[in-house]
Amino acid sequence: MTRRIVKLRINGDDHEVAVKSWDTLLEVLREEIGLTGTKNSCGLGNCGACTVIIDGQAVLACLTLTVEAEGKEILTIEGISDGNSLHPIQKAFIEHGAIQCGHCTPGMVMATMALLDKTPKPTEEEIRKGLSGNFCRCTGYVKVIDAVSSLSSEVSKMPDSTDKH
Amino acid sequence: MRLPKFEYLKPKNISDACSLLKDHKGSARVFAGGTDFLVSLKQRISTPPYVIGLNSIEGLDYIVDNNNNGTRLLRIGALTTLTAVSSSDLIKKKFPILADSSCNVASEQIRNMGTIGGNICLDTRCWYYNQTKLWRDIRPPCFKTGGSVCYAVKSGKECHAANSSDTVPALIALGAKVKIVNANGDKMVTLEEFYTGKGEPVNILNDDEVIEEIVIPESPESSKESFIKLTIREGLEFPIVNSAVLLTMDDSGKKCMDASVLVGGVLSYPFRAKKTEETLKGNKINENLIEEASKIATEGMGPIAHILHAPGYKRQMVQVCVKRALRKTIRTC
Repeated sequence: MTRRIVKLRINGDDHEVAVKSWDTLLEVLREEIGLTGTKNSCGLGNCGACTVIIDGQAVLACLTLTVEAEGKEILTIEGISDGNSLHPIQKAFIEHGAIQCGHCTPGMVMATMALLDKTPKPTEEEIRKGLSGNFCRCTGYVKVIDAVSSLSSEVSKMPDSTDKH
Repeated sequence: MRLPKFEYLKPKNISDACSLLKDHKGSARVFAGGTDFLVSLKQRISTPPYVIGLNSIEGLDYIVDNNNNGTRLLRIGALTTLTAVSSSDLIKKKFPILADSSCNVASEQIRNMGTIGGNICLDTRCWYYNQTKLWRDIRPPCFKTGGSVCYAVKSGKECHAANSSDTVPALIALGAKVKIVNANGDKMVTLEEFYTGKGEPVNILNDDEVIEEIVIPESPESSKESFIKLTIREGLEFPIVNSAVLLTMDDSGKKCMDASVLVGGVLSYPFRAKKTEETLKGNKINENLIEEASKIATEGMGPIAHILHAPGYKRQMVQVCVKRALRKTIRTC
């Protein structure tokens, strides 16, 4: 099987990986690069647990071919804070009890970040619509919506991926 | 769930993509966003040895207003994402049912990846077909998977998988045409003619053809349009039934001069409710007329497949959706 070298820019860092054409970005993030924050859940685009942000847009890593992610700015859950303190979205999720098992949480946080980037102070309906691609089997969503509603409009700025942490 | 092995090909432009398709004679498939295509690969519905990634082609995602000899046309590149289509100010203002329908497809993430060309070429769906190979192997294959039985229509003689696109009924109601490109040239067909009427093959594209562009004529100033989608949950759902309506009104804005009523999610192709259209034409749109016109919306529909919902329920819901869509048009006046 032939692998080819692909350059990926993840959370501001450059990575070079040897991948097969049929490797998804989710598989490479988790298995080759070791960034296991992005979760593997349905693999079919139905749950949103694998949500990452590519070039400023929330997308599903399980349906992205790694070879097609070359040359783009990829942001995963590991890259949203500076490594020393939590991002306001993460803090809000914790403070509002929006996390139980935590499996949907990285996807929810990334989808929230993308939502707030588009709509800095969303209404409840806009939050529900913006997060409708993310499933949670534990919480019943109420506290997730409360957490997102509590965020002020300043948190919508995505981290500048050229900043090194 | 892992993808099967394939070789990934990256075309430089659309004619390169068509040449690659032609050279590989049916063993290559194209994809853009991949939100449906890659799922079908994971489920081993399709295992093409060659996969052609169209997203690398530049210049095919655009939304342009053109003046073509006095007629205004909207031209949308096939690789324009559904997010771009649904958030375009031009489309929201002049073609609201296109913005409305594309903004209701799946989820934010899928709309960011999926393209309008992909939604037009969306494979038909069925409870048996859209499963993994392990699951499907418990029964003999159906018509769509190379067998000779249909699991959605009892004693069905052909595939009855349902056309499940949201943008297609709206595009047909708007009079859209698509530009089909192959290695030898291109041609324009109306979107209504693009579908074969069967569950398999879904559309008229040959093995070496790709859609390049969608062209929509400007609707008259007086027109009223609406889109309704019925789903189990409020998000991330294919339609149980959807309906797109475009009414061309007279100068008073009360009498309907022409009507386009399309219903999707039920048959293998987007169904034009001709009897409903005939009832509306030349009449004042009011609650009584809407009631009368929506009751006959299913006339002319062939057998409705049992795909996740009973045919009787779907038949009733077609009438309900058409009624809601018609009511919504008069509420926008």
